[in-house]
Amino acid sequence: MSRRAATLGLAFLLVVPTTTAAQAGTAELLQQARQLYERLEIERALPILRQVVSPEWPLEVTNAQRVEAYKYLGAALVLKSKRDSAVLYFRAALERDAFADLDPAQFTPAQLGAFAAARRLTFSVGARPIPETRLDPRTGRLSVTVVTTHAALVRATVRALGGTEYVVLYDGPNDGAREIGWNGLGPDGQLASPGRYDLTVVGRSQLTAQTDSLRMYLDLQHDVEPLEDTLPALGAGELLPERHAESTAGNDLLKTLGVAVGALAVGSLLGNDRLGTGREGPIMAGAATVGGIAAFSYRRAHRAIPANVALNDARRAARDAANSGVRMRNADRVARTMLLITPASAPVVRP
Amino acid sequence: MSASVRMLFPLLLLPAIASAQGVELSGVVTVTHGDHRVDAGLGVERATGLVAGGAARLRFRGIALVLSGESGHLTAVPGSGGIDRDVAQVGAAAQFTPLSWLVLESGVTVRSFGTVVARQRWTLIRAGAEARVPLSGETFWALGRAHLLPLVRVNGLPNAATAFDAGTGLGYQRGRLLFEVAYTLERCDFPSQGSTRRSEQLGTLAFRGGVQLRLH
Repeated sequence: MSRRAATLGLAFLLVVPTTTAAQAGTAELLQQARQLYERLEIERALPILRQVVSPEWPLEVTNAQRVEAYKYLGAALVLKSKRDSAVLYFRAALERDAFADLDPAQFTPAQLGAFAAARRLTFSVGARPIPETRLDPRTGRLSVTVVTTHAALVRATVRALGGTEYVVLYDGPNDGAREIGWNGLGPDGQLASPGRYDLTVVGRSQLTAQTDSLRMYLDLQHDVEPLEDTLPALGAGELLPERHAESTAGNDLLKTLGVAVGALAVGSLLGNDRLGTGREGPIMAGAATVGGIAAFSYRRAHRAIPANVALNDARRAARDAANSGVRMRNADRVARTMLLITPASAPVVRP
Repeated sequence: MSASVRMLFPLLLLPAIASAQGVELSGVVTVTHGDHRVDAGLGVERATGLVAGGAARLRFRGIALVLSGESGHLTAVPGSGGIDRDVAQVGAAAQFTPLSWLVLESGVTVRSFGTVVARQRWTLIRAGAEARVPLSGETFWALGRAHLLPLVRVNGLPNAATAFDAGTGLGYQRGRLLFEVAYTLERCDFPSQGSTRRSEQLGTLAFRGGVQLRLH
C-alpha cells in the first residue's frame, strides 16, 4: 500500500509541473521568459521562448506573441554571441510583422545591429489595421500606416471590389513607416460609391529583388440625411384648360342668336298689338346677330385662353421653383455626406 | 336745385357708403332711345327721343343696391296726334345673386311725364329676374330679363291691370370698364273705363357704359 502510494505520488510530482506550465498560457510564459531575459538568465529563457515558437506548442499563440518570442530569441542569442542565429530569428519576426522593432533603450547596440542586418535581408510590407472611421470627405482623410522593412518602392491603391479603376494613394520610395491617406473620392473624382473596397500595398525592395504585397478590405457606407422628394408633375386636374373646345364658337353664336330671337319675340309676342312696336327690338336683334357672328369668327380663330395659360405657367413655375429648392437642399445634404469606413476582413490579407 | 339734380343727388352719396371693405361699386352712364306709345281710345299717340342718366350699383357679397336716374325729352311723332313730353325717373332696386348667372331683382321706379298741359306721375313696383349667360372668354355675356309690375299707380288713372317688362341684351366687360346694350319693352294695360281701355308701352334701347371698382 505504501509502495503504491509512493508511486502515485511520484507520478503526480512529474505530471503536475508540465500541466501547470501548459495551463499557464502563452502570455504568462512569455512574461516569464522576459523576466528571465532581463535577469540575464539566458539559458533558462531560451527553452521557454523556443517552446512558444515551436509548432508543437499546444496553446494558441497570437502573431504578436510569436513575433515577441522571435525578437527575444534573437536578442538572447546575440548575448550568447550567436549572431547568425539571432539574425534568423529577427528575420522571422520581421516576416511576420514588418512593424517589428527593437527599443534602443532596452537592447544593446549589438542586438540593434543584428536586427538592422535582419531588416536588410528581409523584405516585408505591413499595414496597421484600420479602425472603424467616420470621415468627412470635405475635410478629413482616411489615414493608413504602411511600412517596409527597408528601402523599397511602394505603390498603394484602393479600388471598388470588382472594379477596374483605382485610386493611387501613394507611389514612390519608402523606408520604414509612412502615413498614406485617402480622401474618399473615387477614380472619377466623385465621392466613392458605397460598397466594398480593397486597399492594396505592393512593395519592391531596393536592396534585394524581393517583392511583397498585402491587401485590406474595407466596407464603405454613405451617411447622408434623408433626401426630400420633389413635387410630382402637375396632373390634368391641376391645370386649367388652355384652349377653348371646338364647340365653343358655335355655342357663342347660339347664345347671341338667342338674344336676337328674344329681342324680336319680346316685340312681337309681348307687345300690345294695338300699339305696335318700334325699331328698337329689330335693332337689338341685328346687333346681337352681328355680335354673334363676330364672336363666332373670333373664337374660331382664337381658341387659346391666355389667362389660363398664364395661370398654368405660374403654377408650373411655382412647382419648378419648389423642386429647384428641393434639389438644392438635397445637393447640400449630399455634399455633407459622411463616409463610414469599416474593416471588412482580418487586418491584413496576403495574396 | 333742378329736378334732375335732385334725382341724381343720392347717387353722389354712394362712394361714401362704399368705403366699407369687400364692397364692389359700379357706376354707369346711360343713353336710351325711348319710344313711348299710348292708346287712350283716341288712337295711338307716339313720342320718341333720347333719355340720359346714370346708375350706381353697390354690391356686397351676393346682395346689391341699385340707384338710377334718367331724364330726357320725347318728341311727338308727326301724324300720331301726340304732344311732346319731358320724362324723368328715379329708381331703386335690390338685387340678389343666388347663382353666378342669375340675378333676382325687386324695386321701385318713380317716373314723371310732363307736357305743356299736365304732369303725370307714375309709381311702378317691379319684381323679376335677369339671366346673364357668359360667352366664352367671359368678357361678353348675353342677357335676358323679365319683370312683373304688380303695382303701377298713375295719378288720374286706376292702377294698371296688367303690367310687365321684358328684354334682351349684350354686355361686355374689360377690366373695370362695363358696356351694355339692351332692349326693353315695358307694357301697361289699364282697366277699361267705359268703352275705352288705356294701354301704354315704353320701348327702350339703352346703351350703358361705366366702370366697376372693387374696394377691398
